Amino acid sequence: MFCIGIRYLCGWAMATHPADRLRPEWPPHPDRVFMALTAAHFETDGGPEENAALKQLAALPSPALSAANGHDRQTVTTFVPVNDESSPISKKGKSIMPSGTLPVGRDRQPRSFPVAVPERDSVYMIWSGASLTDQARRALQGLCRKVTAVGHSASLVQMWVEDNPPEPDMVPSDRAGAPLLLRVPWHDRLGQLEASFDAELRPSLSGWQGYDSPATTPAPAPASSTIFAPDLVVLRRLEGRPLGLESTLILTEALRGAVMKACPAPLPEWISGHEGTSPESPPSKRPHLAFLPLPNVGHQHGDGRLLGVGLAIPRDVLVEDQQRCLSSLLFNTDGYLARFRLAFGRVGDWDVTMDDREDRPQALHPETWTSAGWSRPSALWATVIPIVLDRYPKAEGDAERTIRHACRRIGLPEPVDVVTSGAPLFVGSPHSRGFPPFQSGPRGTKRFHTHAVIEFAEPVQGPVLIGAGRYRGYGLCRRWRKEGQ
Amino acid sequence: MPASLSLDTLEKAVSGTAAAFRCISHYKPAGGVGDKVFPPTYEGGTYATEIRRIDGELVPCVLLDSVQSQANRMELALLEAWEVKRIPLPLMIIDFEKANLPKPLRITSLEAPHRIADALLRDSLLGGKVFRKSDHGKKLDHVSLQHATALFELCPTALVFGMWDSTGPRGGLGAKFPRAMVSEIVGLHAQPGRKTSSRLDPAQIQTNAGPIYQTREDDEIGWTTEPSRAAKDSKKQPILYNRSKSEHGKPGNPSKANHSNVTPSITDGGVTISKAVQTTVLSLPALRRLRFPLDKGPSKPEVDLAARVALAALGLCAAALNQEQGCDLRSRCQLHPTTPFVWHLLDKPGEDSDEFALTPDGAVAVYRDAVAHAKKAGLPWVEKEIVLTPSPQLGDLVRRSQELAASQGEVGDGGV
Repeated sequence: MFCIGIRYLCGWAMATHPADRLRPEWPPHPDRVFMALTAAHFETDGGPEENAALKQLAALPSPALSAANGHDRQTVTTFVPVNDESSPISKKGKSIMPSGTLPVGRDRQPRSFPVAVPERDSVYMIWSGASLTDQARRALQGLCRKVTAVGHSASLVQMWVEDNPPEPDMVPSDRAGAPLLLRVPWHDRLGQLEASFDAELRPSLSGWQGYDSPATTPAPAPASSTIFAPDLVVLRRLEGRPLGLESTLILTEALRGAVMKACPAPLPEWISGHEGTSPESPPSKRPHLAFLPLPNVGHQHGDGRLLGVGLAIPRDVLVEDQQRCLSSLLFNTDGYLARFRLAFGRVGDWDVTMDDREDRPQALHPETWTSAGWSRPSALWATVIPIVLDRYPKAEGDAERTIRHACRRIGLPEPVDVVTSGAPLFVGSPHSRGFPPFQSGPRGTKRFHTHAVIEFAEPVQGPVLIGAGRYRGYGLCRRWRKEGQ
Repeated sequence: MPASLSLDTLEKAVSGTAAAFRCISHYKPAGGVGDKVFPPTYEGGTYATEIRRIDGELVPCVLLDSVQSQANRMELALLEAWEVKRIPLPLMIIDFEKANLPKPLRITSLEAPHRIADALLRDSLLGGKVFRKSDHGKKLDHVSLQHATALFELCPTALVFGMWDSTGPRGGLGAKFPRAMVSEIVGLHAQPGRKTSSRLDPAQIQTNAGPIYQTREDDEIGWTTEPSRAAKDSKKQPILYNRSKSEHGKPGNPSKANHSNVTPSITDGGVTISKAVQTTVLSLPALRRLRFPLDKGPSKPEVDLAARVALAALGLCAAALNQEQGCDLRSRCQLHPTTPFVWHLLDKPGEDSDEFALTPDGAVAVYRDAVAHAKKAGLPWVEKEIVLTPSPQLGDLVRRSQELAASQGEVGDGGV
């Protein structure tokens, strides 16, 4: 085991989040801590033992973290005096008022200094299974004492090697929907940083690692679940006109286009939904990527507005394949979270990015749609978007039988009860008539759709996407309570 | 009562492995608990609020004095002590005496925002040469963390409060010295208040006594009630007086010339706090990074230590002198200390820290001793202030600025 402790001496951390310049970074990302160690090493002409120790540290797997919650100080704009010119006359020819301690005016430029105030001033980075040489440990002990700040130079710290760390609050997780994403040093990070410095460039960003809370209680007996993994990839809307649930198909089609365009060749079946690489290839018979809208529904202020979109990945897709196909869409070449465009044609477009915020609307939490984690599996589900039936119901009970079959098709058990309805079941969701018809088949046949309530014998876990339109968001369900919502 | 901090203790701390000296002091509003204080306002009139967990409770707080502002106050406290010869300190001064300014002006390296690397010094002359081409100025071209001797000699505060030579020969890649000293004041249990604004005109000028018109440029008062004496617009109509161009009052209203009453208003303003907490930290690793070679070879450990101790003493002295000056942060924001100023030496995490008292006089004494030791170790130290003169271009700009300010009113820069 190896652990580094970091105490923020002023009681706060001043470091800008890599994905949002107006937001502080908390907890400190392991790569930022590594950069602070590297800076201390080079700025003090640390010897070859320190250098070797840093290389060993970067090669270790990502550490677990023990860090309290942090509260953001309200980010304000500070006007900082420039130094490229001394003139006390503004560009418009007016005299600038003296400010601060300077008795003459000076042009100032706006800057922000995001600050997080943690509930405890110490953070621990813990490599549980780490094996470092004694020499490396000793070198890192000395190096830690040389670190002055993590983040802005005002973010003064004390850093040390800790032999008895507390239990971690966050551990590395490889699932696509891990709630926290932190930058971590990879392999030759030291060489990368040195090369950037020698080239007089700012350091490039390192890789990202998902983090999640460790399982501290015995896991309950696994609930039945669907063909989709519960780790949804959530994308939030940054810019673009507000859209309602009626625009589901436009939105999911645009997202599918963006995913396919960004995916490196060859396009796999689980992305395209076709057996071959040509558009005329027959539809895949295997589960493939589903695109779903994330609407604001199910509470007093639910209005059906789409707050974002999500990707539901089939369970059997390997993590490496997910990263190969989705990384270039979700992250830019510098390692930042990417901002990309969904084009809807004459309806407009959206700019979106992956949502890694802790504090976000309920609709943008994967647990809202999966009833996993804090949300708990549920035996009762109801549609937010109607289920598309692959054939028109002619006789009484046809719709219910089709829906039962559709549940089994996505890996769920046979429901004990299905009740169909034209009326919506959640505040904010339109009547089934309000949704444009889903078209499928070679002739683009418009399919029948209906809202429904589905009851299972045991609680099940989502995401629950059923029916013929499930890969485009139709048939999206959410846990439902009989007495209300 | 903790022991007083001595030079010997300071030397042991700087040469050891301790992380920092830290002083956490508590204040209350000078008007008593429950009185309102006014934090700094930022763009949009906002305060920098935050939530802290204190004794298990989530507490709303507000920033009362920022890191940058506290650093400015500490430098001003040093300047005042230097002016009365209480402390020795190398100082650079730009004297505008010969620039024929309407208002006399002198700017020191303690007031310049970028210290010795500031554009004002860059645009000034020393011994007839542009400062950065003078003998002293050229030394700055080669300073670095491993070669900090010239800064110790000319501007040791740059090594305590930080400096970035961003406009020197290397531009943005110029020498960067991170700060070693950070201080901030935060108010706890901050509850927003309201403030009132109004004005009663002693002359009881009524709004209906107007309108007033703008006069032609040769009139010194600037306004008149007589349309015949007013300046005319393109349609030959008299121009209503509107000097301030603010949204309050219509053009032509006597209030535009600061006459008549202002209708009372109530807006958000100020906060009440349970107390304020000032946290001041001097980082010892930051000082340990600095090296002070005296000749072309590597630095000597005893010389490095002497310089670092002097800088630590300078930082503590700045904090103590600032505490001595009181805590009158801005209009309606005066605080009074409720705890003595005690410094903690933070060494091994998880272990109790040593405590020290440090009065302003005690801090000055330790600092003077430390400087004497540093000089004895061979470190250069400029005793007398270095006086620069502004270049003709800089003098001209400042003169024009002062003249414009007098005639047109000054432009706020939105700074804090």
